[in-house]
Amino acid sequence: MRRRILVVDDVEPQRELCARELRDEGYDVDVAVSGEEAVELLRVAEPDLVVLDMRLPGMSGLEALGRMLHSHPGLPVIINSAYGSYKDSFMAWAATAYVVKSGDTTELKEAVRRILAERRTA
Amino acid sequence: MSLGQKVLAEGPHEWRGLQVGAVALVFSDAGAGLYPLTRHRDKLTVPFGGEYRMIDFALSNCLNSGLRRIRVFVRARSLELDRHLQMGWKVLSGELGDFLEVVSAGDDSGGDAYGAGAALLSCARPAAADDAEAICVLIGDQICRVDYGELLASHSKRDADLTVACLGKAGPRAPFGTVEVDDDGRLRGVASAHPPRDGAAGKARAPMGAYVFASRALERLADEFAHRDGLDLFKDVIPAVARRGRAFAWTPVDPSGGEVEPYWCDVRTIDAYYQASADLVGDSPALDLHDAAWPMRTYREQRPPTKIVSGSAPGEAERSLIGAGCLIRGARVEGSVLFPRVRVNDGSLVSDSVLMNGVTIGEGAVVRRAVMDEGASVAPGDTIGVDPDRDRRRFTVSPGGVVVVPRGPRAC
Repeated sequence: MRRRILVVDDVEPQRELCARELRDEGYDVDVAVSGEEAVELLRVAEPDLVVLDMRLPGMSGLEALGRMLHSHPGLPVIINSAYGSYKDSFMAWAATAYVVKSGDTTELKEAVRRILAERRTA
Repeated sequence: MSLGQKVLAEGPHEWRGLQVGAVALVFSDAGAGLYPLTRHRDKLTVPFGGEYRMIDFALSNCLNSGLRRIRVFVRARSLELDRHLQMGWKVLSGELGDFLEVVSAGDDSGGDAYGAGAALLSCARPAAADDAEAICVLIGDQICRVDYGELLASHSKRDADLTVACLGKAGPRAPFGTVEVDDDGRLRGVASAHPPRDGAAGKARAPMGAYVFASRALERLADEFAHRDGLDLFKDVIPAVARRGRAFAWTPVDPSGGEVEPYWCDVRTIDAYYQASADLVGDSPALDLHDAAWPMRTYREQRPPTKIVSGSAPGEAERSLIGAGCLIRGARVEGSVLFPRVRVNDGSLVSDSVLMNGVTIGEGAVVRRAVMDEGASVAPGDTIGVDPDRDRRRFTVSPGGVVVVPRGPRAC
């Protein structure tokens, strides 16, 4: 069965890059442009994993992370941010992985592959 | 220490006379494989390595090797090339017997793509007037680090008519065909653009585009070929000298005498150009532009230092060569070569790309696996290297998937 990933990023080119690369890997990809939309989508989309930007308009990435984990405990979330500083945030520790945003998506794709494989064997 | 520096440090040496007297001839083809980078400029002036032009590598190798009498042959005169040599290479002084001249290689009717065959023989007599015992022929589209002084020393010691600089073994990289050698390094066969014969692979070598001819051998050939049109360096001149004279292959060696594989990249296509650029940004690149023992020189305008500042995200640059006068604001640059005065604006990502002078990346844009020519720009929020079909509709895309964005209106 194809795995479903939700990509949350307000910057369209970076959202497109991430979504396209993950689709090329064979995943079904939904996108959200804000934390609010991501939380709303989670109710209907049932993703296997979320790739979440931190700097979002309105609801911040950290707040969205908290709400998503509250409604879907155990949902894998990869923080994909240009800011390494979020690594120090207590809330960010709840994420499954932290990847610094990059034009080279190799690290992100490897993290997605690893986390979904671990989840399958768990 | 380079051979050129050794000459200065150690004074008279067995090869010094030959080296100082030798004339280097640098050739270039029309650069069709690098289109559209060569649409508005001579191939030798294609920017490379964040600060340089392609010709700077051949000239720097000459200078570091003690070769200071140089003629550059071009298919068509180029203001950009003339200006670059005038501004950046005045270090060669006629008062000391050095020269750097730009000469027309004639039209391209027949002969090799460089016009080198005919031009070389036409030089045989003037070269004799220069009192040059040896003529070093260099194909100028090679990005490499080679000590031509050592090549000349080997040529001199063997009293050769022709010495061909070669990679250790012929592999897939053999743009100048192959040569077969015996155990003493003597040439037994020359093949243009052919793979090694069966059973000969172990003794086949791939020429690197650098050849030393004894002037006496060229003078003899000039008489014989006096009425031939369209002479080809690779099919006519080299085989003729190799057949009749003492011809050898030379492979770079380290101080202990073992063969070494110097950095060498034949930059005739966009993909090769891109790979040679990518080779520069690693932790320990095979061609180290920071090696003070083998300085690569060029012409540099006066520019302010590069500035990297935060915007909506941190400004970051990693595994990259950044030229002077760049501004990276709230953007991430990785695995890339940035030439001077590039602007990378807030929230954008630049990955594995070459951005030439004056390129502007708009806010939030994403640029991947691209070569952007001088003055080109990406609109805010636009993408390059993300959607291959869209890239092909707008730009040239190489067989290897590198997007080439042509020169912009603000090219400098």
